[in-house]
Amino acid sequence: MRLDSRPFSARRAAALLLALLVGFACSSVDRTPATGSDAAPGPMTPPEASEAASEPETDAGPSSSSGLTEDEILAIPPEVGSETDLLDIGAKSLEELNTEGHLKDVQFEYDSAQLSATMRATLEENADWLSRYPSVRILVEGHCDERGTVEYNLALGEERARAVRDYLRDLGVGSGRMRLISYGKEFPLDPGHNEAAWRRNRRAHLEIVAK
Amino acid sequence: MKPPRLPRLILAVIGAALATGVAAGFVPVTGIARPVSEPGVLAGPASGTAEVEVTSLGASPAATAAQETGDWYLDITRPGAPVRMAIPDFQLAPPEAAGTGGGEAAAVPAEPLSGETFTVADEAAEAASVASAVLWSDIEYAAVYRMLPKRFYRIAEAGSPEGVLDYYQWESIGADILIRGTLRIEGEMLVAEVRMHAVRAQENVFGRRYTAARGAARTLAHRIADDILQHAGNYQGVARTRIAFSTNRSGPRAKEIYLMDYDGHGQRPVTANGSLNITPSWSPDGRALTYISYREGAPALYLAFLYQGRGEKLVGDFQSFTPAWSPDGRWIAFTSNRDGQSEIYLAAVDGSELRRLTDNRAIDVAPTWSPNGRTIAFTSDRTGAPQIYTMDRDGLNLRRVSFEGSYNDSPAWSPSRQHSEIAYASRIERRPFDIVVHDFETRQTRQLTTGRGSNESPSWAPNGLHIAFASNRAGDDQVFTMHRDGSNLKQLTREGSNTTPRWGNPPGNPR
Repeated sequence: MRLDSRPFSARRAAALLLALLVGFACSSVDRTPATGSDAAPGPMTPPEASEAASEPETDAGPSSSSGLTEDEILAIPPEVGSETDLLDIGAKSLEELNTEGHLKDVQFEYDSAQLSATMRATLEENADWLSRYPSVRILVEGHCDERGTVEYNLALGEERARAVRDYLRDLGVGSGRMRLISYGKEFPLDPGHNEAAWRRNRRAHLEIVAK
Repeated sequence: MKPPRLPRLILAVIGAALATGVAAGFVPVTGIARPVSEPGVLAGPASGTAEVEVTSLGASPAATAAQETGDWYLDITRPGAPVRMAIPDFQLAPPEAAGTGGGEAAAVPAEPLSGETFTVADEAAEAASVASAVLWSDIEYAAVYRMLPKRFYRIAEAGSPEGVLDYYQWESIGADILIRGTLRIEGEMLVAEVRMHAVRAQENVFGRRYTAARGAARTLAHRIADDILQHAGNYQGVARTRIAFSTNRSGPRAKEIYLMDYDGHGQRPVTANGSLNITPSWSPDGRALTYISYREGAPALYLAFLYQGRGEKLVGDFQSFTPAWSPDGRWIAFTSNRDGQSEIYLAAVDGSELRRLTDNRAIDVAPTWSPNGRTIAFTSDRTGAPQIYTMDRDGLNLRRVSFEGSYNDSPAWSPSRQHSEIAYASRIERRPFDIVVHDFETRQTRQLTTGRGSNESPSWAPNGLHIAFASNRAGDDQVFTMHRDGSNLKQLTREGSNTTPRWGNPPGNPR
């Protein structure tokens, strides 16, 4: 949600205050962080992010060192505060919504459809966003890198899409809002023939198809 | 097998197709209009499928008798040495109306096109040149004869009196078999007369007249080549076969199904819907394809009837992948996720009788049929990595085929009657994929490509002696062919990225 990363603190505090005064607390906002604590402005850690951070690294990711991987950097939550500002999605085209990147891809390990903690954190953000825009429908696309075969990758891409769909459903996104599709290795995001390209291409992509 | 009898009159070469007229090859003439909203199937076939009419010219009495009584072929063996074949270029013959059985077109003289620089004679010369080159490369491709270089032929011809065949002259340059042909234009038709001679026996063992449309010189030569290979050594040639594949050459974010002749010539689209169209599979009669198209969103199973310019969606619910047409033409095996995971299914070609063959949590994909249609091989990762398995066509009797390689996929069962074997793409020691063949009789696996790029999606020629596959050894994926021992590599495509080649039977020629 890079477009939302403007400083929001003042507006956000005012909004929260208003909400408290009026007395309907966060009903339109599904993400309800720690209701007991006061809503101090500043970088709160969403529960799923802290969960991800505290959970031991179970997947055999390429980075066991201290440096953040690309996934982890992408998984860092945006400036808190953007959450209360609902986009006027009616004013935007589907193409705009998709290029603005509100829903993030998740990247898989080679020949795997398993969801790691980092991937789940990303999907939880996606689920949050989807819960704020209940009219949005998505296509869950499964993609593979070029190193597997055409035929097997079609099935693997479908497994990836299904794993993502199932987890989003567990997070409360209605099944009727999601369709699955596998593109195998037919539509790589990055045409390169190296580790970085393969990594980007082993993905599930959430495409907004209705709003 | 070839027709058991060879009547001396016109043979209906391409079976029922001929009944609908010569033009059936190029334009849909069945009266079935191509619905615009139907799957984007172009009015299919082109150069490789024009009709060729064949007439017997007679041969020596013994050979003629053999032709009358049944299956026959020349049995020339040279212990320890290959049979040597001489094929001089087609000689231009003047247009003549006196030919026997030339048909109604025979009386129509070639019209002189006044003012045109390209005369009928030029066209005939061009056709003869094309036919000569195509015939030569078709015979050479089979790799069963030693082709005598053409530079020797002048010696033999110089020693022979004009217009007379002197067998001794041809024997002196080492020819065992001599193929001589003439070619002319008669009206709108191209007429070739071809004779095959057993040189040492001094016998004319084969004589046929071939008639095809003007401009169909390649088709004419392909037909002649397959006949010669059949009658010179009981060899099932592939000159009239075609290869279907998927290509991105027509635009970004799209792949279309294309066809080409076995030699890469005549690459032409089957689909043109701007969507993703992949993994074609031929009907056994070579007249239809099944493939996966994303044209309505989800990947669905389509049929394309090439000679009617028409297509239909067979299985549309859920996602379907990797269809394979059964050898008897009645079934299509494919992968579907309709029950929540990738399983192998069967559907009748009319879309009825859907049956599931596998049932487990793993991926099951890429079915391929045994030649007798009783067994299906496929890829499964039920042990954790993709490997090749076989099962009976009712899903029972599961057996694992591949034990070497960490990742095996794209199985293709050989249609050969001589060799019981299966080709697939195999990852050996963390390298990209190579094509390997597992022989069911010896239980040995041989590797056909070695370490040049990634090689996948093998597909057998109908005679089981050649394999087409896709390789990125030259950059983008391209379609190549090779012999079943890995030799004689040929690159067929060069434009765009081209994948999943599937080698099909000649049209109207069910196995």
